[in-house]
Amino acid sequence: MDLHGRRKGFATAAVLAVLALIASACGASPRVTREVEARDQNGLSTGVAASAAGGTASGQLAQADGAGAAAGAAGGTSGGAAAGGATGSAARKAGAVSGPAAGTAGQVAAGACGAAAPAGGNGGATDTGVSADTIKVGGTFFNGNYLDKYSQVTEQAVKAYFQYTNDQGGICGRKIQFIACDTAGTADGTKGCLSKLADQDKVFTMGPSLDFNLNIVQPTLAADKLPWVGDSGLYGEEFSSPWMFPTQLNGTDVGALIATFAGQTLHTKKAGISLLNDVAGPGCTKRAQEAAKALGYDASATASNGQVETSLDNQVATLQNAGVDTVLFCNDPVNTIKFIQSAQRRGWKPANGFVGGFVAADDVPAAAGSYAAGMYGFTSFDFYKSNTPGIQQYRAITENYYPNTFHHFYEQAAYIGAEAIVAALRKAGPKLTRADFLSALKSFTDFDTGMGLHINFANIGSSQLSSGLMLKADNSLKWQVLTGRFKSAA
Amino acid sequence: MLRSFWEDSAKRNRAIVLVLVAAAALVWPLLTSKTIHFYGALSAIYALVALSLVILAGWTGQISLGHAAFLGFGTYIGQKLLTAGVPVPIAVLAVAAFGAVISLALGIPSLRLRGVYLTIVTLAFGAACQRYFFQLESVRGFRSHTVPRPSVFGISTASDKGLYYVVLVVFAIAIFMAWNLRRSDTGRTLFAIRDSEEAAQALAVHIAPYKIGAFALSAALATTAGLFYGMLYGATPGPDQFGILQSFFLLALPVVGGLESLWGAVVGGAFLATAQPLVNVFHIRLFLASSVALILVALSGYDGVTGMIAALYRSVRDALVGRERVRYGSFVPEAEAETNGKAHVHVKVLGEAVPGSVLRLRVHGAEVEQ
Amino acid sequence: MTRFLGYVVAGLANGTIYALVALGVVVIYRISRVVNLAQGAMGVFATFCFYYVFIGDWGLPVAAAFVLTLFVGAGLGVGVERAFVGPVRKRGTLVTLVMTVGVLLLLTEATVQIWGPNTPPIPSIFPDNAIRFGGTGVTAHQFATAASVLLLAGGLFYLLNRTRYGTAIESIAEDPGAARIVGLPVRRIVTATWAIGGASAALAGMLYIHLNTLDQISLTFVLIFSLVAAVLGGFNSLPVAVLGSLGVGVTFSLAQGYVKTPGFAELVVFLALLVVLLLRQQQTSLETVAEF
Repeated sequence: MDLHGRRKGFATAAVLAVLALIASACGASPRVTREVEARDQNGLSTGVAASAAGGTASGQLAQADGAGAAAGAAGGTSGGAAAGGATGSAARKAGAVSGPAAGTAGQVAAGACGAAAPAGGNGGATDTGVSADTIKVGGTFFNGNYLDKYSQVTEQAVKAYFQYTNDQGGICGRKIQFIACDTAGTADGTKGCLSKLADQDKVFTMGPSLDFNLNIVQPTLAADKLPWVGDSGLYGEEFSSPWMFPTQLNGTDVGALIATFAGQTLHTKKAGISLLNDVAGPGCTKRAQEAAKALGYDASATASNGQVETSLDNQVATLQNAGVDTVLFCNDPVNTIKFIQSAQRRGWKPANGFVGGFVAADDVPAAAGSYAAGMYGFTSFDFYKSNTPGIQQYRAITENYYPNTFHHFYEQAAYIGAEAIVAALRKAGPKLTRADFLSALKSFTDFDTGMGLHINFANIGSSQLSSGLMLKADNSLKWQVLTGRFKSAA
Repeated sequence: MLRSFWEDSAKRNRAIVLVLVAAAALVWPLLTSKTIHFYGALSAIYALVALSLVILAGWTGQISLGHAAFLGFGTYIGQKLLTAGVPVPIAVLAVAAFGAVISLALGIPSLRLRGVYLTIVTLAFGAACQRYFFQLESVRGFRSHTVPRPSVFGISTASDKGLYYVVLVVFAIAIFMAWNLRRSDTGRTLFAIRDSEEAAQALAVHIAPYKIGAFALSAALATTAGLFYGMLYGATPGPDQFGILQSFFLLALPVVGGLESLWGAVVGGAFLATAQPLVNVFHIRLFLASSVALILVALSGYDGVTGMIAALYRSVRDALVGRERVRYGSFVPEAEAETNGKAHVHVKVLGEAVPGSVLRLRVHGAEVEQ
Repeated sequence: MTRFLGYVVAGLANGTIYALVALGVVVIYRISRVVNLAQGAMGVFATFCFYYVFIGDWGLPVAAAFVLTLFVGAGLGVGVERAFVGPVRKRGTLVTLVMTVGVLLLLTEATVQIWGPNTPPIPSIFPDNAIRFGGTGVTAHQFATAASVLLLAGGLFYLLNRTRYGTAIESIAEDPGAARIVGLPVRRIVTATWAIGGASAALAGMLYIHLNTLDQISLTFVLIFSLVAAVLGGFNSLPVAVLGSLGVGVTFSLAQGYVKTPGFAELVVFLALLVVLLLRQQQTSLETVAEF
C-alpha cells in the first residue's frame, strides 16, 4: 500500500476509535459498573449512608409486612440489633406464609449466629474464599452479549441483595463480596470466568448468574468441588448436576404447567406446541404432552424452530393445518413474538389463544402486536408488578440500590439465589465450610422464595414443588395477573 | 555447513528467535497459575485453527465460512472416540481423517470451479451443521456429554497445563509440516495458483487437486483442534458454539496474526483466546473491542501483528545498522529456494506499481541474472 | 394440495426477501469483488434509524421516513466503502472479507448500544390486509415486497447490462487502473454502486423486519440463503440471483413443511447447492469472478 493510502487508513482509524468511545459511552454498562465498584470499595462509609437510605426501604417493608411486623419483633430477640432489617424479612416470611413452609431463611437468620458471632479458627479463614471478614461469591453474566440489558439488571439485583445483607451487618460478622465476571455469552467466556473465579479469586461458592453455556461447566465444578447456587436454569444439565442449584423453575416443568392450564382452565381439546429446538424446548414439549395426555387432550402437533429463524410462517401453517385450538409455547421470547406476528399475517388466531411459557417480561405482548392481546403468559414467581409482601420487599431492595433498574423473571430467580445463599450461610454458622454450607442449603427442602414459589434444594431436579400462575395480556398489551398459583396435573 | 549457517545472519537470527520462543512456550506454564493455563491451552487450540486458515486462505486464496463446523465435528466425534476408550493419538488421526473426508465432499464440487463457490458451500455447510447434523443424537443431540481426558504418552491431560503441553506438541508437529510444505514444490505451486490461476494454468498446473488438497489439510487441522477443544471443556458445548457467526470470528484469526509468517497463527490464536479476559480487565464489551481491533489491524496496512513487529524490527535495524541496500518485494516465503543452477523466483507486487519504479530482489549467495 | 400451495406461497414470500438481499450483495460484488457480509447489519441499522429516529424522535410520517431511510442506507454503503472496504481492497480477498465481518460486528454492536435489544413491531408503508389464497394468506405488504424486488431487479439489470454505467462497473472491477487511464471517474462510480447496494440493504431491512420484528441478527442469517441463491448465478447474473432466491425459498419452505425433523430444510438447501455445483460445467462467463 502506498503512503498516501496508509495515512488515510490511519485517519479512518482515528475516526473509528472516536466512534468506539462514543459507543462505549452510550452503553450503560461501564458507568453502572463503576458506580457499583465505588460503592463496594467505600465499604463501611457507604454502608452507613445506605442504611440511612435503607431506612426508607425498611420502612416500606415494615408497612408492607403489616401483620408480619409483630412476628418480626418476636423473632428479633436472638438476631440482635445488627440484623434488624434481616429479621424484618424473616418476619415477613413468618407472617406472610404460615405453616411448616415458614422455616428456611427466616428462622435461620434469627438463629444460627448471634450479633457478635466469633470468627471460626485459623484467623477466620475457615475454607476457600472465606476470611475473617469476607465471603467471596462469584457469578457469570453475558453482559457483553446483545442481551446485556437483561443480564445487567440481573447482576444489579444480586448485588443489591448482597449489599443489603452487608448493610444489615453481614453474616456472622463477615461481608459478602460478590465478584461478577462478564462472559459475553460465549463458551470460552464462561469457562474462562469460572476458571478465574475458582482458581484466581478463589470464591467460596458460585452464586446467582445469568449466562449461557452452563451445560458444560459440570465437570469443572465436580473437579473443584465448587457449588453453584442460583444459576438461571436454562439447561437441563443444571438440574441434574449435584453441584448446581438453579433457582429457576425447570423448563420441563413449565411445559407441564402450561399444558395443565390449557386443559383445566381453557378446556383445550387439541393443542399445538411451538418449540425452540434447543435448550429447554424439547424437554418442555415432552412434559407438556404428558400433562395433556393425563388431562385427556391431544397435544401431538408440534412445530419446531431454531434460535434464529428468518420466518416462522411454516411453523404457523403446520399448527394451523393440524387444526389446533390452542398454541402452547415451549419457545424463547423472540420466537414467540415472531410466531404470533406470523399468525396475524395469516389471519389465524386459535380459538383458545396463545399460551406462552417463557414470556414474563413486559415487552413480549407489546412487541408481538395486536394479536397478542388476550394471550396468556406463565410465570413461576409472583408477577413482579403485583403487591405481595415478598415482591414489595424485592422491589424495595433492588430499587433502593439501583433506582433505574427494571424487572424480569430471570432477575427474580437470581435475587432468590442470593436469598438462598445468605440463608444457607447463616445456617452454616461462623465456622463456615463448603460442606456445612451445602448441607445447610440441602436442609431447605421447602424453601420459601417469598415470591410464591417453593424450592426443594435437597432434590433440585424434582418437580414436586413446581407451581406457577398465569398472566393475561390486556388490550393495551400489558400483563395482568389472571389466576392463582396452581400445580401440574402430571 | 553449520558454520555457514551461523554466518548467515538472517538464518541465525531466525534460529535464535525459534529457540527462544520454544523455550518460552515450554517454561511459562511452570511459572503461572491455573487460570493462565486454561488460556494457554485455549490459545494453542486456536493457534491450530489459525494455522489451518493460514494454509487455506493465505496459501490458496480460498475462504471457508464454515470452519467452526469442522471444529464442532472434532469435538463431537472426538467425544465419542475418547469415551469408547480410543487413545488420544489414534483419536487425533481418526478425527483428522474424518475432517479431511468431509472436506472432500465439499471441496470436489466447489473447488473444480473457479470463484466464490467454496465460500458459499462452506457457508451452507455451516448452517446445515448447526441446525441439522449437530442436533442428531448420533452426533451431539440435546444434552451435553462428558469428554474424558486420558493421558497421552504419560502426560496427564487432567490439568489444563498437561493438556496445553499435548496441544503444543501437536501444534509444533503441524507447524513443522506446514513450514516444510511451504518450502516444497507443492507449496510454491499453491502460491502460484493463489496469485494467478491463469498463469499457473499456463504452466500446465492442474489447479483443482492442489486447492482440494489444501482444503483437506486445513479441515483436518481444524477438526483436530476441535478434539482438544472438547477435552479442554470436559463436556460438549451446544451447536451454536460452532455456528456461522463463530466461523466469521475464526476468519479474523489469520488476518490479525498475519498471513505471511507462520508465527501469525500463534498470535491470532492467542488473540481470540485472551480477548475476553482482556476486555474484562478494562470493562469494555467483547464484540465492540474485537471488531475495532480487527478493523484497525486491517486498516493499518501491515500484515497483521507479526507484520507490524517485522516492520518495527526492520526500522530499528535500519536505524542502528544502517539501511539495507536492497529490500524485499516478494511474497515468496523468506525461506530460500534451494536450486542447482538457475533460481526461479516468483514475485508478486503488492499495490499498484508506480510507473518507472524498479523492482528489487534480495538474493543470497547467488548472482542475479537480469 | 392446499397445504402444498400454502408452503409454496410462504416460500415465495421468503424468497422475495432473500432476493432483495441478494441483489444488494451482487451489485456490491460486481464493483468490489467482495461478498459484503455486513449487508444484513447495514439493513438492520438503517431500519432502527427508521423506527427510532425518524418515526420515534422526529415524528415523521411513515412514507417520508421510508424514503429517508433509503438515503441512510445509501450513506451507510458509501461510508463502509470509503472508510473500511476501499482502503483494504488491494490487500486481497481475505482481508476485505474480514473487514466486512468487522463492520458487521461494529454495526450490530452500535445498534444494540444505541437502541437496546427491544423488539417492537415496526410499521410499513404498505397495508397489512390479507389477501387469501386457499388455505393461506398473503398480505399486501408481501405483494409490495415482491413488486419492489421485480422493480429493483429490472432497474439494476437495465443499469448494469444495458448502460455505459454497467460497462464501467465491469471494467473497474476488472482493472481499476486501466479504467482510470481511459478516463472513467472510478471513485464516483464505486461510490454510486455502494450507495445502491446500501439502499437496497435498507429496503430489505424495512420490508423484512416488518414481518419478523426488530431483531439485530436474523437478517444476517437471511444473507446465508441470499448468498446461496447468488452463487447459482455465479454472482454475475441478477435474474438468476432472483430466480435462485425464489427457488431456495420454496425448497426451504417445502422441506420444512413436509419433514418435521428440525434443521432438515437447511440440510436440503445445502445438498441442493452441492448437486447444482456438481452439475455445473466450468464456464467462460465465470471468468470475471476468478479472482475471488
